[in-house]
Amino acid sequence: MSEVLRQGATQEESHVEGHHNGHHNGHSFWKKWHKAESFISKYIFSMDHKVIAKQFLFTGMFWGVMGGLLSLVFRLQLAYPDTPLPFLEVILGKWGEGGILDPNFYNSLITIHGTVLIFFVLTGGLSGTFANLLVPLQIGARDMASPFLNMLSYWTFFLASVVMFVSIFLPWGPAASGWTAYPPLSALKDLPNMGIGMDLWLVSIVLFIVSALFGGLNYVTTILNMRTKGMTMARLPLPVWGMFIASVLGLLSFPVLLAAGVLLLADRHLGTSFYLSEIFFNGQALPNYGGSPILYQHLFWFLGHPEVYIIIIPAMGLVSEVLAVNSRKPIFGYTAMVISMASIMFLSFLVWAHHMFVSGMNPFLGSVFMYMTLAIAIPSAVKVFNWIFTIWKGNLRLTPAMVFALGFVATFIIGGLGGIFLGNAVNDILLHDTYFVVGHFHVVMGVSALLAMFAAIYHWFPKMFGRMMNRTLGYIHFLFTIIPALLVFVPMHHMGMAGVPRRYYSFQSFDYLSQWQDINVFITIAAIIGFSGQLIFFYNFFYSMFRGKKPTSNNPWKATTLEWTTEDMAPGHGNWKGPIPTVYRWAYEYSPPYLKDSDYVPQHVPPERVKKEPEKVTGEVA
Amino acid sequence: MTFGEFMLLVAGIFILAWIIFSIGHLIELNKNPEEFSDSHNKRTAWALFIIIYVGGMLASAYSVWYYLERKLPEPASVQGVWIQTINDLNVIATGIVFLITTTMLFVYIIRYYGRKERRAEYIPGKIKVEMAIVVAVAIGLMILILPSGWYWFKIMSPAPENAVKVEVTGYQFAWLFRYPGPDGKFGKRDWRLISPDNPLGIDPNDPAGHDDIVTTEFKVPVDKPVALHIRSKDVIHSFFIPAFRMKMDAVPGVPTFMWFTPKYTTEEMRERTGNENFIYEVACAELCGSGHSSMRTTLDVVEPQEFEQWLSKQTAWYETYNKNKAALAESQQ
Ligand code: HEM
Ligand SMILES: [Cu+2]
Ligand SMILES: [Cu+2]
Repeated sequence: MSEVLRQGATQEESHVEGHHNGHHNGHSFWKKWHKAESFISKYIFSMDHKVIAKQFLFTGMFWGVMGGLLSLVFRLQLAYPDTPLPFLEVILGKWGEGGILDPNFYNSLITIHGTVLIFFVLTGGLSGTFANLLVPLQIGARDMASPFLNMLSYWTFFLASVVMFVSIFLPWGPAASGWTAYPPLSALKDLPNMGIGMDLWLVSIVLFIVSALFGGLNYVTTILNMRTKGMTMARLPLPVWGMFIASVLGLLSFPVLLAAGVLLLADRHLGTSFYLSEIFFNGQALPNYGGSPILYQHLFWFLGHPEVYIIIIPAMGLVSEVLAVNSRKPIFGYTAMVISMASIMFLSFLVWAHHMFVSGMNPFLGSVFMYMTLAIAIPSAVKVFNWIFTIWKGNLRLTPAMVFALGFVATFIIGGLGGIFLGNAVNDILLHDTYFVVGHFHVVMGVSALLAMFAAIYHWFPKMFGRMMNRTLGYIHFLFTIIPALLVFVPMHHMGMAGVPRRYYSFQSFDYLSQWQDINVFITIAAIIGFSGQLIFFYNFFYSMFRGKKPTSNNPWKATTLEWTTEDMAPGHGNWKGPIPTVYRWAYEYSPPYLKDSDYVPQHVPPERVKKEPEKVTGEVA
Repeated sequence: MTFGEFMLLVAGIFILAWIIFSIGHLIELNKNPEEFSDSHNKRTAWALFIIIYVGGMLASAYSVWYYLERKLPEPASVQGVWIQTINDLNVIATGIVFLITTTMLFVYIIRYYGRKERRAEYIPGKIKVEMAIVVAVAIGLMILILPSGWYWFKIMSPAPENAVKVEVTGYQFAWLFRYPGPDGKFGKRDWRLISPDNPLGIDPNDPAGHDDIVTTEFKVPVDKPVALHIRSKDVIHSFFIPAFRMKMDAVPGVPTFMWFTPKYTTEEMRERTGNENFIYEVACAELCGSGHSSMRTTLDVVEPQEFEQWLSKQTAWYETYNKNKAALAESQQ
């Protein structure tokens, strides 16, 4: 089938080529065809994990920019709710008539912003990129277990992206139900912006889930079956553990969201009543009876909560690696790190209803979920302390990646502590659906996961593109990211404690909200700066891709893991020119006392060599 | 800040950023990006410490002060006091943990930045340390959570028998209230009976509903428990009284419930807050469509006799309903 797919594509391409070159002689035509064919199979419908990783990365970056731009539009609305801004009409057309943002479109903006950042950037962009890049390279495999499924995973993701993208520009308006898409709001298709836009949103999510399942199945199978000789599970680098655990979590929870989405589509179009009952709408009593909107919330959060950990567990793995490499010190408590990730995964299934404390749920259930939620804080705390103890007594090489990783730890602490407030059911009666929640999840998921993603990009950039990124620009990018991010999201915690509800188009209808208007302006300025700061990154990224300095060796960070032993990063299933290296030890042999001149022992260096000439142990392929 | 000033500020910051950017770009050009000299690490570590840690702590302090100027007035319900207490307890507990962990993180950065003559210590971790973390965190959380478990059941338990009953119904984008009348019982409702004359769909054939009062005004007596039955006609809303620190979702098809005991009348709150325009505002806290941010109503807390008086002056829903029906029949004849 892969052949069919590939041929389909090539034929289409050859058509175009043929059209252009109709009067050329046959010889050059065939030559071009072959060239096009190999270009397409190499870079577009590629089954090579390294290329697919880049495809995920570029798609994620695209959506990152898109999501950021959407947020700037609604931030402007919040800062200047009644100042007509004529350029809004220019960019938004009828949604910005007279320079005033349409309230339904405001809701659409927050919906698409949240959805694409959570699913397309932090799930697809982050896990998709680094699971693809690192899983085969770090476990010592020539490619994924099923390269074809891998390609399919990217292209379903691409399709989901296209559907979402199209939905934004249709005249009926993109979905306006919030990323959580609670029915009945999302089920009543006569509401403004809840027609085709909402259907496309659901279709896009369904496609995305399919893509995540393809990807997850592949990562899990690959990690279980394709490890090189000597690479036991207990020797896996932590990024691989992170991807493994997050993939299992995704495989077990995503299907539930799929079901929730399909049932919602049925309620919208087939007249079923899964989520609907006793609704009087548009001057009419709807016939639906017996369903419950709460059922949707249970189904949604059964994925929705694990989803946040599907995002953060791979981020944790990546950060653990960057911290250890650049501290020149083993990760503190490797086993504890793995166990804590696994217990977070397990507990993730038992806490979902902490998003529903005030939905009218049975209070006994509420208290159970409160205890389970605070239980999940324990493994999270273990991880934080282990990161801190990893840099303790280390010899910190403060690369841009390391700085981003430290930023991850700092912001994860803030966000995790915010979670303690929200997980407390009593406190959540006040804080639920206020800006406190917005602050919490942006700090812990938005900011810290993004910092982890940047850390990983700066760290593995030489591996991906064979060049180094500009270091000073990296630091400047860091400052222009973390400072605005904290200025945006820390005040939101205070707003939430002062009872400011989230998802408000303006603060003008309430006396008690008007005093927060200044803060809204402040946050908007910080958001604009933070967004612009990313331009530094994009410049650095693309400049370095073509013009960056070449690393002096294969292993510029002097890391122990296998990905740094490959020379050949050209597309194609191979990774290692010769045989795949054998692994002799864990991934964190940094600064062992028996070494004098060097401070690390790569996983693939045989113990005899270490014993014989410890001073000559480096990452170079033997 | 006007929009013009705002644009100027943003432009200024852009120019500044551009200068920093250009310098940064040039600095790096003739350096080896794999070489991390001692002085480089030292500078980076101290920059992080001063900009992020010291700057961040100062900014946090300022932000807390700013918040204290704008926080909600003191909680005006008995339950609100409990909730606020738990919130304040959380502020203190997490504040301490925040200070300890971030200080550790940043002190280690300036203490252990990379130097050629130093070596990291090979410490793969100790099971005892991990166990200690688990036990300490678990105990801390238990202490934090025990009072909450207790208050949660107090807040969520059924209202006392003598509570004043009120029903609130949310719809796009307003709230409508119903009082049960002298019999203390709400008449049955059916969403299929909703009409302009009968906005709640009260069953005209249920005698319990004949004395029900339907009103847009929300008045309750002070110091008495109020049992609020919460309903929605169309999508999910959430009834949020910030001054009481309480909210509960309004879910179509699923009746929900909340009870509270107001501590101060509106008049008393005006004195206590020094704000003569103070009014208890009620907000919607669940995204419900384009009018979500203006779905406002108010609550008036009054002395019990005033409440009784007000209630006795209201006309029962059924009377108006019948009158309208009669008028309709007449106009049709
Ligand atoms: C210490 C651990 C954490 C605890 C105890 C915790 C607790 C909570 C609770 C109780 C809520 C519901 C608040 C409400 O809606 O009223 C919440 C919301 C949320 N949390 Fe966390 N959290 C923790 C860590 C995280 C992490 C690590 C992430 C993501 C990586 C995360 C992402 C989110 C998101 C996205 C929401 C909001 C979803 C929404 O309503 O739109 N949380 N958290
Ligand atoms: Cu959750
Ligand atoms: Cu609302």
